[in-house]
Amino acid sequence: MKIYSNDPEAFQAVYDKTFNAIVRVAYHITLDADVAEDICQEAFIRFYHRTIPFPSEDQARYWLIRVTKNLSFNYYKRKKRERSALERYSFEPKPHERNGEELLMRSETEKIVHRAVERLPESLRSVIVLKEYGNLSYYEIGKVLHITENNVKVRVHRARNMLGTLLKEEEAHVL
Amino acid sequence: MCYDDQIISAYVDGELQEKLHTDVKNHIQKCERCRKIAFEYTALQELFTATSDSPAEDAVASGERKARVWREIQRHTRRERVQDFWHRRLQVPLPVAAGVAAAVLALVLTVLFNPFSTEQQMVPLAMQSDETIESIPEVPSDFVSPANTMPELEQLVRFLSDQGAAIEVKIQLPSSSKIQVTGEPQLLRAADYRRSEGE
Repeated sequence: MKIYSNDPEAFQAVYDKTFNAIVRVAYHITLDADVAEDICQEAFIRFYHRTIPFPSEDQARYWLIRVTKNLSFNYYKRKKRERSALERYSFEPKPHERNGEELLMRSETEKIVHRAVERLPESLRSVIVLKEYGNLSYYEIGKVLHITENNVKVRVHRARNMLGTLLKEEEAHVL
Repeated sequence: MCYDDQIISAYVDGELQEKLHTDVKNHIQKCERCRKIAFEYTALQELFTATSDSPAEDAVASGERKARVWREIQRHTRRERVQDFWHRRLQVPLPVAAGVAAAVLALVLTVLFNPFSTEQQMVPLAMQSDETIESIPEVPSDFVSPANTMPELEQLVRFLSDQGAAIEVKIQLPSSSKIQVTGEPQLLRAADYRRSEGE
């Protein structure tokens, strides 16, 4: 059944099924809950404006997750450039955290995991975030990223190996 | 023979087909090396699960946030729906559009070049019969309208009377003296008018 994104019922159905996944994906890429919220809103507005119907509800979900992932990485890259420019200017590295509230909310383990995930290259970070936080299967990740299931399997494996190394480094750094 | 690490990674994710899944599972129970790898991947997976169940994570995907984003989207799309009403795009199938265009064109052409036009009927009746035309007296060339204006009614009647073309004008007054006022122009007999003044 085709999905028209400007049909109110279809829109609400997709929203209810997809919101939690995409807000988590956006959050674990941007590491900012408010930015993740804005990105979700932007993604759904883009979804509403899309005039071409989707072949199925799943395809609509994959499209939304893909748009969210791209918006999040764009935001992350922009902030990273700004941060490095600021660091060069002030000659001292700034902490990644935005405010004290976030520091309190996140446990030490979360911070370690986030830092390790943040150090992954984008191609590996995408699959691990979609898998672990978006709860997508290999098939779904393949549809979102336009890659084969086998490619997803390879990337997940590489991401895990790299994360294992990075986490050991992070733990050593913390201790 | 040990399985590739990729296969073990997919096994941990439950992404293997049933037969292969069972084979890997049986192998892991016997192989120390593969068991260690599977354990590492499982521990990493549990680490993600643990961090995604934290209060911070719950706050990210809270119902309040979901409702807030929904309201914002609705506000945005409602405004656009109103604006778009006058600028909306209509999707009409090409055959239907062509049919409507042909119908409109045919209608316009019919109005402009109608062979059964009523134009002839608009010609005065007097002009349609030679007899009638002959019966109408010609205005003599020496007839001069006073001050180049329309002749007075009396002049005109006299002229027609001279030409022997008298017109009979019949004004029929109501038989009853009680005339109801209905807002239309009225004709009153002088006697009735005088009587109403006396009252």
